[in-house]
Parts: sequence; C-alpha cells; structure tokens
Amino acid sequence: MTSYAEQTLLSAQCVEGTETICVCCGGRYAGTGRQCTRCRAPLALSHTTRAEGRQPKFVSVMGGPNAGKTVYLGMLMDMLSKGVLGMNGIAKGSHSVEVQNRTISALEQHRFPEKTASEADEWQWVHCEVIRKGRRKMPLDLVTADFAGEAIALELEHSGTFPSIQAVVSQSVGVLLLCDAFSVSRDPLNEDISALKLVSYIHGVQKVKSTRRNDRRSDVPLAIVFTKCDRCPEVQDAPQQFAANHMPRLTQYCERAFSRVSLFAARVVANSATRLDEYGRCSEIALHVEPHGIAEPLDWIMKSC
Amino acid sequence: MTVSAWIHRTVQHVQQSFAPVVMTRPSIDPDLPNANLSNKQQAIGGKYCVVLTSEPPPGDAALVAAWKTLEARTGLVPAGNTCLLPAFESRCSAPAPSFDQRQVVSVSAFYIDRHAVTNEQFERFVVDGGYDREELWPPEICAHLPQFRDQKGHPGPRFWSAGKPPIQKRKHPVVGISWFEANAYARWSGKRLPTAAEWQRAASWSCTHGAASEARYPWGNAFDPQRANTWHSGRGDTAAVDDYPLGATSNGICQLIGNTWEWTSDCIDARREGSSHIIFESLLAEIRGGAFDTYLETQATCQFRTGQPPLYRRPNIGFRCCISTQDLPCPPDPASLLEIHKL
Repeated sequence: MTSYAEQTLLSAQCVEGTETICVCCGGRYAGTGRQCTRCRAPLALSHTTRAEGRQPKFVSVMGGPNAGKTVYLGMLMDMLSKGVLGMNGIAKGSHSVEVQNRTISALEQHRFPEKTASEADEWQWVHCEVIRKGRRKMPLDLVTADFAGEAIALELEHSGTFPSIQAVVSQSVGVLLLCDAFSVSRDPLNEDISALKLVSYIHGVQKVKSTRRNDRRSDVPLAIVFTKCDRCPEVQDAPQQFAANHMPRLTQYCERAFSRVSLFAARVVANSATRLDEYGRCSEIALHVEPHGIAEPLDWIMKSC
Repeated sequence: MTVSAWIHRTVQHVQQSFAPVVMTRPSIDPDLPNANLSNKQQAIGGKYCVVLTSEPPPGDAALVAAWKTLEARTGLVPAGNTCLLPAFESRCSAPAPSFDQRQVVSVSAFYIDRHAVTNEQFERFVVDGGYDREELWPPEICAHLPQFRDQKGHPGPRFWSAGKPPIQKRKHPVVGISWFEANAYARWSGKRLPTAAEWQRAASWSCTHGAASEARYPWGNAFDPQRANTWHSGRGDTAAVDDYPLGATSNGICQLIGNTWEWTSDCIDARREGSSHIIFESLLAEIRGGAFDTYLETQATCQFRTGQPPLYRRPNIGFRCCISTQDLPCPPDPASLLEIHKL
C-alpha cells in the first residue's frame, strides 16, 4: 500500500492513458468527472499540479464550526493576491479564486459569507503559487481547502468519514488551527476541550515527523490562530497569555506533542453588529474591514518549513 | 443603569454641551487683550479660536493674529447640501439606494482643520492640564478620566509613554484617544468635532456638482493609492499629516481619506432599517474617512459611514476640529487689518 506522499508524487508524474491520480487522496479515477469520487477534491487541482510538475505543499486550515475559517482563508487569499509581508500569491485555476471572491464580495456588502456546506463536493479548494520576495527559493505551490466545521467535527468522531480532511491533514507541511477568541472567552472549558480533540486528531493523523531522536513530538509547524479579535481585544496584545489562561489543556498538549507551535491573534473586521429580520432571524453585519494578523501565521509556517 | 445607557446619556450630554461653541473662559487667557506674546503663543498652540471667541473681545492686534492663523490652519467650507447614505451602505457595490433612503442635509458654512490634530498639538493640551480640567469633560465621564492613561500611567493617549508622544511621530495624527478625549481637546481649542454631514461636505464639496452626485473622493471618483494612506499604500502605520498632498481637497484640506479614521460628533444607535432591526453591542460614535489599515477602497470614501464605541482608544482613529462661521465674530475690516499690520 502506498502512502499519501507517494501517491501524491505519482499524481505529479501522473497518468496512464486517461486515468488520473488524485493529488489529494491518491485515488485513481477515469473519465471527465469534475471531482475525485473518493475525496471530492476537484479534478482541476490534480490537472494543474500535473501541468506544473511541482510537488504541491498542503496547509490545513482547521477549526470547529463558526471559527471563521472561510473568512480567514478568503481574506488570506485576497491579501496574497495583492501581496503581503513579502509574499505574493498567484491562484492556479478559477476554482482557486472562489473562496476569496465569496468572502470579499460578502464583506463589501457588510455581510459575512454563507456558511460552508457540510457536503464535501461543495467545498472550495485553493491552489496558489506563493512567491516570497528576496528569497532564492522556488515558488511554493500551496494547496488548501475550506472544510466545513461540522464536517471536521464529524471526522473527529468518526475518522474516515471525510477522506479529504484526513488526506490533507496527513500531508500538510503546516497546520493553522483557528479558534474563535470570543467563544473561548465566554466558554473556555468547552472550547478548550474541542480544540484539544482537534489537535490530538491532527497529531494522530500526521503521525510523528520528527528529525530528532527520542523526540516524539511532531515537527510540523502548528499555528494556533485566535480569530474574531475585534470582539475580544484582550487577546490581541498577548495571545500566549490568553491561551494559557483560557485553554490550559490545549497549551499543555501542544507543548508535549508539537515541537513548533506559535500563537497568533487575527481579525478581519473592526467591529460587527447584529441584524434582526422580520422573522426574528439574526445575522451578523460587518461594519468595516481592517484585517490584522491574517498573513502572519502563513508567513511563520513558510519560514518554518 | 446599564453601561450602554450610561454611555448614551454621557454622549448626549457632550453633544448638548457643544452647542453653541462660543467659549467664555477668561481664566484661561487672563492677559489676552494686551499681551501680544501670549496671543501669539495661543495662536501657535492651536487656541486661536479661543482668542477669536473670547468675551470681552481682545484687541485688534490679537484678532488679526488669530484670524491669520485661522486662515492658515483651516479651510472654509461653504454652506450647502450633502447627501448622507444609510450607514453600512457601500456606494459602489450595493444597489444604489433610492432617493427616499438618502438623507439630504443642509450644512452651514464652517472652517475645518486642514490637518488632523497631531501628537505635537495634542501634547500642548496635555501639558496645559487638559485631562485635569473638569470644565472640558462632561461630569459623567470625570470618574472615568483615570482610564485615559498612556503606557506608563500618565494622562494621555494610549500609545504615548510618560506623557510624551513617540519622537518620530510628533507630526503624525494623534491616535489612541477616545471620542471623549477628542471632544475635550476640541473644546480646549475653542472648536468642536464636525458632524458627519459637515465632514462629508468638507471632503466632497469641491469636486461635486449637486448633492445627488457627490464625488467619492476629494480628487474625483476613482481610487488612487498614491493619494491616501490606506492598506494599499503598504505603509501599515500612520503617516505625517502633511504626507499625501495629492489627496487634498482643492481648498487644501488634507488626508480626509486614509491615514486615520476621524471621530465625528454624530452617534449611531440601534435602529430600524426597512423591516430589520440593527442592534449594536453598544452605542457607536460615527467615524469617517478610512485609515492606514482600511482594506476595501469602497470603505475609504467621502460617503462611507461606520462607527466605534466612544470609549475605544484605537491606533487608527484620530480627529480634526471645526468651527461654524456663525460662531466667529465678524472679521476685521481689511483696511484696518492692513493698518494694524503696519503698526
């Protein structure tokens, strides 16, 4: 049985006849379908990767429901497309622009994007070439997906339910773990345990990739990102202190299981309000967009790779 | 009383206490009529409007000095109409609001600062004991004045240290000040914060033909990152108030777009919008113009409206002051001005 990494390499060299190997899960599929029948990753992703002839680097964006993954990822991609922190991103394929488009269009209208559907075939995938200024390194082919928080939660309970989540996490060169800072401050116990579950899943799926002997910690950089800091300003200045105070289980686990962990505070909007419609339904209004701490976690991961 | 209700009441108190703006504080300027040096110091120190509105009026020489400073440091915005969009409406991307949704507001003529208040100017307010002078603050906020401290616990903006601004930022707009501190400074200087309508008219009147077709930026309708310090300029911090001269209005009012948001005297409260209710966590004071970290060009326009809680001391909110022409005395006769100047 081939590992995911081997399968991915195969996919880069790829095809015999019309058969294509999925760059994400290594599944083989034939014909003209849009998605891998096993993990639902878009076929275009595998085709682009094959055409580039470069091994893509997966980065996982993980987090529970309502952690802000779509907004974070959409904003990150938009910032990369304009250039940020010496990084420039070029989207590979129109599917790679969709999450950015959804996010920015919604924010311009003072809305947040629609909740990501739980069905894997609805998820947006991003393939982006990231070039760093002043570095002689080759451009990095970054691949990530906007998983639904509910699907991630289900995958934690029943591993293998969503093969793409497991496939992406297992191959990732870096993991972004998003936690809603406001929820953490209001319900620290529940959020701490949920994050602990997630991080232990990541560690389990990643297995141990350590370069040091007798060190069972994973070498994969783990960026813990506290999102929605506009609603919880105290995290902005001291995310480490905030984590230690509110999420002691997560902090302890990360120290034991990962050799490279860093904490960040991020926000996309400066303030928000609530709209209550005539049927009593609530929706959040984004007042104005002031992204802070969005690109720093990726920058740290890329420097750590 | 809830915190929100308390802030609401305090904000109302501040708004009421600023109309009319004419200041009568002889104790601040006891030797005003005859001491030219003091008058000059006051004008340089930003209190020329106190000189102009003093009762009894100072001598002609003092008035001339103050008028000259007013002309140099502020721009006159003529009376006219301006068209306020509903808050949280982005002009270019949302469907254009119908005329009944727009609010045409009539604005009287006023002078507005050419630049946002700088750290250097705000320091004079701090040195003058602005944080300790009860007459500058609404009574309700006095108990909370100890919150308005810098990083070393001295009275002053949030990002200062030991009562001093960062040396390299003396000419930058003062930030890290709440709406109440902005109001206190304005009152100390004999002016007031502009209303949202005044701010919008100052930014758009010189490039506009009628309130229904206001220009989006002081220079026209197309965004230009060379003319304003927003996220796109890549600076990531405030700039000196005289940077970006190409972004000024035709009458020389600078940086209305970008660099820092600017507090206005208006407030945004929970309200009904069509069949929906908009609910805020607390009362918001309206801010205008966008800042160095404003990401969307559509949110750094003359018309874009948003807000922040009045007690917030953010690194990207500053202010500028204004004064209505009707609150100023009649300018001296030009002939007599010349005579005084010769003397």
